[in-house]
Amino acid sequence: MNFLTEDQVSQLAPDASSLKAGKDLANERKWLNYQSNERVLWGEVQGSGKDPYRTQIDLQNTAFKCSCPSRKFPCKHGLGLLFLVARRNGDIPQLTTEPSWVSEWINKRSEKVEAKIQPPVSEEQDSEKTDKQAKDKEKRQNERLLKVEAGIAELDLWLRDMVRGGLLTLPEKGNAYFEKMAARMVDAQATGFASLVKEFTKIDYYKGDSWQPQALEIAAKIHLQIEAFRNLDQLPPLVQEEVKSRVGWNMQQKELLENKETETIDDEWVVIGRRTTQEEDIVLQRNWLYGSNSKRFALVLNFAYKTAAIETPLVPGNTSKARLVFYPSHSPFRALIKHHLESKTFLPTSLEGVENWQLSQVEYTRVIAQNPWADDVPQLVEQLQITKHQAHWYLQDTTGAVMRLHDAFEEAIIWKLLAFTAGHPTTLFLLRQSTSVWPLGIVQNFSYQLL
Amino acid sequence: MFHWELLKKTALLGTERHPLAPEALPASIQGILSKSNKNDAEGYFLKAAAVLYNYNRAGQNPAKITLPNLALEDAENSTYCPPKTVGLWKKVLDLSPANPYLLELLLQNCHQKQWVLTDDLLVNALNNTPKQLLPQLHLLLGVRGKWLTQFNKSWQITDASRSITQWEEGKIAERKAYLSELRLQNPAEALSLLAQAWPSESAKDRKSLLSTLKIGLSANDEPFLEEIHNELTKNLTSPKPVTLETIHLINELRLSIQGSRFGKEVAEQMTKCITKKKSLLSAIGFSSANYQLQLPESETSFWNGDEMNQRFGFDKLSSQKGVSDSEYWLQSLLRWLHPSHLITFFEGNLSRLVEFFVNTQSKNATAYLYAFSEAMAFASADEIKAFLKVTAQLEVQKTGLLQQLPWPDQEELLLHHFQLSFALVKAITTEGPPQNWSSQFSKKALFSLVKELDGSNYYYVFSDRNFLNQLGRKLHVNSKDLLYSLQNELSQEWQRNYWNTHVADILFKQLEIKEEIEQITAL
Repeated sequence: MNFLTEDQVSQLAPDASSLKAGKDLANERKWLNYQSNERVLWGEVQGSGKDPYRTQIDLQNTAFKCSCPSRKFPCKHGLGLLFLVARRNGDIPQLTTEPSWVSEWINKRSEKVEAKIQPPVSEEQDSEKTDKQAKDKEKRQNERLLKVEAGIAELDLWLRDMVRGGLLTLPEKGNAYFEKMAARMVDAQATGFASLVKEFTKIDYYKGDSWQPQALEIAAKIHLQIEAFRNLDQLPPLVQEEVKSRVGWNMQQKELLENKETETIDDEWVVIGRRTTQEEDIVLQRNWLYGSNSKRFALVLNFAYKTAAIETPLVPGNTSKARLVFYPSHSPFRALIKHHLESKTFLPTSLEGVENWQLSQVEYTRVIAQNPWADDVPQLVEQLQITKHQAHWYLQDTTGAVMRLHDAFEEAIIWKLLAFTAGHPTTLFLLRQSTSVWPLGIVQNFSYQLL
Repeated sequence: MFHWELLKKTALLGTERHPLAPEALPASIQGILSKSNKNDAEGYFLKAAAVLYNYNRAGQNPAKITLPNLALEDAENSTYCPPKTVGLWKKVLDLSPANPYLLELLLQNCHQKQWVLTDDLLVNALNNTPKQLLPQLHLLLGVRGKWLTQFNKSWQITDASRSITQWEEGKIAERKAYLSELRLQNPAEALSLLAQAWPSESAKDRKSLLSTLKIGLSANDEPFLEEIHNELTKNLTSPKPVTLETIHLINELRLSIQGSRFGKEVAEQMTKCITKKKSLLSAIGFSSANYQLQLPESETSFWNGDEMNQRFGFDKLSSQKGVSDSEYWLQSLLRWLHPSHLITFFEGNLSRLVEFFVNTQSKNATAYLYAFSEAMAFASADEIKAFLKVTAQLEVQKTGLLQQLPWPDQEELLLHHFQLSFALVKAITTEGPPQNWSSQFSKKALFSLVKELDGSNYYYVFSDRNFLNQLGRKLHVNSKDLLYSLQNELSQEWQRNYWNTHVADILFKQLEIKEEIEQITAL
C-alpha cells in the first residue's frame, strides 16, 4: 500500500489545530472501521452526530472526501486516517472490493482523470459568438493596458521623487506611504508592482544601516520592471510573457490548459518542497517540483482566500506521475498540473545534481540572464557539507566554496539537517538566491527526506 | 548589496544634491549607461542601480574559505530502538499537552534495553524533553545524538554538581541549595559548614540556612542547636521578629529530634497535664476514657517561669478564635514534639493515645489529634502504618504520612482501611514519586473520580492536565477497559459526555501508550 509518512501527513494539514486534531484521531479505537486497497483508503469514525462520518482518500491522487461538516481541507478525519496508517507502517486491513459509498466516489474520480487525459474533441463553436468574444476580450485588454500604463507612469514619478530626495528620509515616511502607492497599483490592475512596492514595508528601518541597500534593491527592481514594460514590443515574445506576468497580467488557467502551444511535460515529478505564506487574506502555497526524467524544475502555485481549502494532489516528499503545463516564459518554472495520475513515496530513479557551487552559479546566472526578476532558483547540488562560522551556518562543497544559509532559515531545520547527515557531504535540493541558499530536502539513494 | 558603496552617497542624499558619478562604476556598466541620458539624473541613477543589481548577482562566485569540518567520525556501536519503539517514541513526543511522566517511563525502559535513538527521533526528542529528564535522555542519544547536542545549548546537561564557591560566594538561594544537597549526602559535613559560618551570617540568612537541618535531622545536631539557642536567648531584651522566628525554628528542630534533652523536658511538662483517673475499666485496660487533659493555668507554671515568647520563640497568644492560649501552646508543641514521648507515655498503645485525643474536650475537637498526626512524620514506618490504621476514619494528616510508606503498604491502607475520597486520590496522584497502581486500586480510584463529576468544581478538577497526566502514568493499564463503562455511574447525559471526552478519552490514550511502554521490557 502506498502510505505516507507522518512528516508528509503533517505537511498536508491546513493549520495547527487540524494537525493536532488529526493526530488525536490516529487512534484505532475511534474508528468503527478502516480499510484500504491500492487506490483508496476509507474509514468510518464516530463524530458528534448520530451517524458516523465517512472518510475517503484517493491514494493515487491524494484527494479527500469526508461526510463531516468541516470546511477545512483535508479535515481532521482525513488527516487522522492517514496518521493512523502511517503509525501502523501501512499495515491495515486490505479489501479488494470497496463498499458502494467508496466505489461510487473513487470511480467518479477515475473517470474524471481519464476524461482529462483524453479531452473530448471540442465542438465547433458558433463563429459569430467567437468573434464577439474575441472583440470583447481585446477591448478589455486595451482598457486594462491603458490603466496599467497610467498606473506605471504614476509609480515612475513616485520612484523618481524618492531618489531625487534621497533614501535617508524613508524611515520617517511610515508604512502608510508605501501602502498608499501599493493600493494605487492594485487600482491600476498592476498587482505585480503593488507587491514590489509592499516590499518597502517589510524592511526594518531601525536595525542599523542594513535597510539602505535593501531599499535601493527594491527601487532598482521596480525601475527594471517599469523599463521592461515600457519596452515590451522590443522584447522577445517569451520575455514579453514573463514581463506581463510580473506586472500582474496572468494568463488564465483555462486559457493555459487549452493553449496547444504551451510547453507540456509528462514526468515523474518529485515534490521537493512546499512553502506556504499569507499576504493579507490570501494564502499562497508554493510547490517546487523536479522532473526525474526531464531534469526540469517546476513551481506550482496554489491560492486560497483565508482559511479556504487548497486541494492539491501534490504531497511534499512524494513523486507525482503527472503532466505539467508551463506558463510561457523564457525560463519557465511556473506550471499547472494538467493531469495527475498517481503519487508514490519513493524516488523513481537516482538523481544527479550539479557538482559544486561554481557550476550552481553558472546555472543561476543562466536563469537570471533570461529572467532578471527571478528570486528563488531551485537546484540540486551534490556533496554539500553543513558547517558553521561565527553565528552563521554554511554549506560547503568539495572544492571549499561556501554558500550561506538564508538568515530566515529556521534553526529547527538546521538541527534536522545535522541529525540526518551527521555533518557528512550530502546531495540537497535547495532554493538558490544570489548570496544565500534555502535547503528543501536531502536526496539519499532512492529516498527523499524533506527538511 | 551590489556595489552599494559606489551608489551609497547618491542613494542616501538624493540625485538632486549628489548626482551619480559614473566614473567609479565598472567599465562594462559605464558602457551600458553611456547610452542613457545623463541629464535625467533620476532615470540615470535608477538604471545604474538596476544594472549593478543584476551584474552583481550574475558575477558573484561563492567564496572559498576554510571552515571547520563538523562531520562526526565515530560510528554507532549500540543498538537502535526497533521500528515499533520508534513509532512509540513519536506517539509519546506527539502527546499534546506533553506527558513527562510517560516520557520518563519510556526513557527508563529503553535504557534498560540499552537502546539508542534513531537519527529521525533525535531532534524531536531533544526539543521536547523537559530539562529535568535530559540526563536520562542523554543515556539514549548514542554517538550521533551526543555529537548533535554540541550545537544547541538547551540540549546540553548543565553540570548539576555544586561547588564550594557557590557556598562561599553565591546568593542566599544558591548557598541554601548547596547546603541542602550536602546535607542529603553528608549531614555532619553540612552541619560543620553551617556551624563555621554561623557567627558571620546575618539574622535573616541564619534563619534561612538553619531550615536545611530538617534534612537528615538527628541527635548529632542537638549540641549545635543547644549552643545557638543559648547564644540567641542570652540577654534577650527586645528581640527583632527574625530572631524570634529563628529561636522558634531552633526549638522546632530540637523537639523533633528523638530523645533530645529539650524534647524530654517539654514532654515531661506536657504529660503532667495528662492525668489518669483510676476506674475499673481502665484498670483492666479496656478504655482510655479516664485519661484527662488538664490545661496549664499559666504560662509561667508551664514553662518553669520562663518568658515563653522570648525563651521559646512561641507566641503565647492564641490566634484562633475559641481556642485558649494554653490549648494553643499544647497543640503547637504536639505538632513538633517527637511522637515517641507520648507513645511511650501511653505504653505503646496507639489506639489508646488516639482515643485520648478524640475524647479531649476542645472547641476544635480534632485539633489535638491533627497536630499529633503531623508529628507522626518523625515516627518509624511501622508506627506510621499502625497510626494510620487506627485513624483511618478520622481527620488526620494522611497524605504526608502515607508517602513515608512503601507503595504496597499505602495501597493496603487505601484499599482496606480508608474511605477513598476524591481529595485523597488527587493527593496521592499528584504528590509522591511515580508508582504503578494495582488494577484493584486503580478501579477504586477511578470510581471516586467519576463521582466527582457530581460536584460543582468538576471543571477545575478535570482541566488540571498535570493531574490527568500523573493518573495516566499511575493507573494500571487494565483500567482502560473500565474507563468508558464508568459513564454508567453518571445520571446526566452531559456528565457522561463530559466524562468520555475530558477524562476517558485522555486517559485511554495515555494508558494505551503506557501499555506499549511496559511491553518494551518484554521485547
